[in-house]
Amino acid sequence: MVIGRAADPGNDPHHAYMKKPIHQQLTLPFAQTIIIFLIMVFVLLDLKSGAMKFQWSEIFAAFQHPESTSIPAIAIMQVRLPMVIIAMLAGSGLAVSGLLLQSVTQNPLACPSLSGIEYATAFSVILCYMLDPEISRAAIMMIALSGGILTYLLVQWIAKRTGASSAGITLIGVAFNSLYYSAIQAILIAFPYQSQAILYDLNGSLIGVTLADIQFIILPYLLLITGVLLLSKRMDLLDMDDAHATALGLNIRKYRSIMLGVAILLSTLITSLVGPLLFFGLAVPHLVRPFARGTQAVWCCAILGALLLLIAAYVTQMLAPQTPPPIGLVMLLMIAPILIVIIQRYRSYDEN
Amino acid sequence: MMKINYHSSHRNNVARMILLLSTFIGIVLIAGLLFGTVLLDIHPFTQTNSRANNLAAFVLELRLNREVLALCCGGMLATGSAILQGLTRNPMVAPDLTGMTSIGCLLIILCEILHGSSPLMNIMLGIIGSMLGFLLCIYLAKKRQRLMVVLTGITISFTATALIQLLMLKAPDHISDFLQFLNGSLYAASSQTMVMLTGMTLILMPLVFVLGKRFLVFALDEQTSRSIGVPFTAYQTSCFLVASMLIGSSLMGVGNMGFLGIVAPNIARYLCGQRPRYVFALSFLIGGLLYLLADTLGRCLVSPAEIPAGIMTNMITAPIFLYVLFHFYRGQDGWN
Repeated sequence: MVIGRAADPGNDPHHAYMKKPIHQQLTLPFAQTIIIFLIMVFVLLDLKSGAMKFQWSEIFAAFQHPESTSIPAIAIMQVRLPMVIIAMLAGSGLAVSGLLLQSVTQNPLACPSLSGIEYATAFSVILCYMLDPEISRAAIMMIALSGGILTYLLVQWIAKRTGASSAGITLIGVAFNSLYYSAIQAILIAFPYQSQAILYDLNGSLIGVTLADIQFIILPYLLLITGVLLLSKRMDLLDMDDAHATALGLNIRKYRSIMLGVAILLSTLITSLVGPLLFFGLAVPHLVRPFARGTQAVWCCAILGALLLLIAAYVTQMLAPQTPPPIGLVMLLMIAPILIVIIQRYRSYDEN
Repeated sequence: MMKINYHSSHRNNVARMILLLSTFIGIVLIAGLLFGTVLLDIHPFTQTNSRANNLAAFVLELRLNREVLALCCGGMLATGSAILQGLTRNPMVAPDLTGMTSIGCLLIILCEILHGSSPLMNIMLGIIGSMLGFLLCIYLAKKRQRLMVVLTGITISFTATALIQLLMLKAPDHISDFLQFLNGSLYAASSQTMVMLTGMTLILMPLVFVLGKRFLVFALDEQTSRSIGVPFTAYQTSCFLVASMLIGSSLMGVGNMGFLGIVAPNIARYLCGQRPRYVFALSFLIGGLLYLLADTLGRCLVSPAEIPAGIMTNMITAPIFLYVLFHFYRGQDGWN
């Protein structure tokens, strides 16, 4: 017995085999702590940097007296704080939405932007503003939502009828995207006076979002995210076929349609405020999926997405403090290498 | 006998189609010359009023300039993508879905910002950029499945577009007119560019027809094509060079909007089957017609404002693309 134990290197804590490689030492809670820490760091950095540079003391003073009329307080409470909050909401929302879409459709290339949802939302919003500049937020949201859902269903229907593979669906989605993109451009050119009121960027922009906008979406947003976190315990069952999942006691059709609906709702909600963020919902889940599953995956996607957009917001402020570029552009440049790796890694998905 | 009849009838069919398309192009050309923000009629030419005559001649010259440009650019883009689709055996390859147009535009704009450039320089840069874009895309996709190439291309293309837009924010004001070409707007195009692109078309299109003779070898594998006496690599390279020259030089007119490239060759192939030379000729005509139509519509619909031709083309071709997908490729694995 003694010999047996001694011969087994796994039981010897000082043996070289016991030293785990670095990526195994990074456990999930540890990584999450780091991400949350980084989120806090970048929230503070985003509040501090920009066209006007403030001292830390000014920022804390602004938070202690949010009603004061000093310049730092107004700039921070009415411009930067909404920007930081919407960056976190948008990042987490789109990442979770992408994760849900990928799980539900079992398509590793699914993404709210490449399924036509985001540009359809943008198109609906701009069309609404063009037809009636005084339109209420709720009406816009409803129209944007129906536009997003309709486009998604249309893309899926065409994909089904043409027998498209997962990359084929992407191509159809790109066709829809280019259609909507061109239509939006045409509207912006043809009716410049109506569209001047639209603080809206085709590449996604956090500028111009007010606290009132955030108040409008925060409640449905929190409800949706909580719902996803509660429901996501069984998300791994989506990888199975219908018979197996049903045998394990899950009403798979209902579950699938709920998750799909939540994904579309989330992305529409976000996109109607910040505009389309291409590829974001595709890339973030792929960073998370190798390390986490189920509820953990949703949670990790949310915090990682928030962190990435906060970093992108910081970079945009650094690049041009006076006229910050759309955040979508910086974000795209940041995740482009990741996307190339994803596409190379998942080449075998279509083979079966 | 049967065979000869079949061929001649097929040839007649194609000839009839070419005639029809040319007639359409002629109609759109004349309509485009007359309509626009300033309505022209034939009247001024018969009048002796020299001032009205001069004005009409000036407007006509401007319009003819951009219409010829639209025709050449649309046609060259479509023919170039037809060649690429044959080369890669992938009916879903288009210049903007493989990163060709965006990297070409990126190079052109970089050069324009760093130190101003001439039309010739722009065309050269466009050609180099489109070659680089395609090679990068093929390298990164590593000959995986067909649509993976497209997906890699889309990523490259959007990244390069993001870079272009970041550059544009930093661009000095005096070139903002020049940047209009990105969306395929032809109004800022100079007559020098027009002459050069017409020249390129006249040089390249005969070359395409010479190369088109053996183009079907790309349906075979390398060994078979060698054994029937076609130097595969050299032929492939020359086809690729010609294709990227066509696409690169069309950039100055079409800009970053190349969705036309996926549609025109597919329609051409539907109309005349797998006959390379006919496909190229029909692609040229269809591409030219669609782009000309888009330019004219964009000019007339919301005048005095103007919707860039590239945007109009996208609006026209995206539904056509879905239609093509739905009716020609329905249930086939061929395009996946």
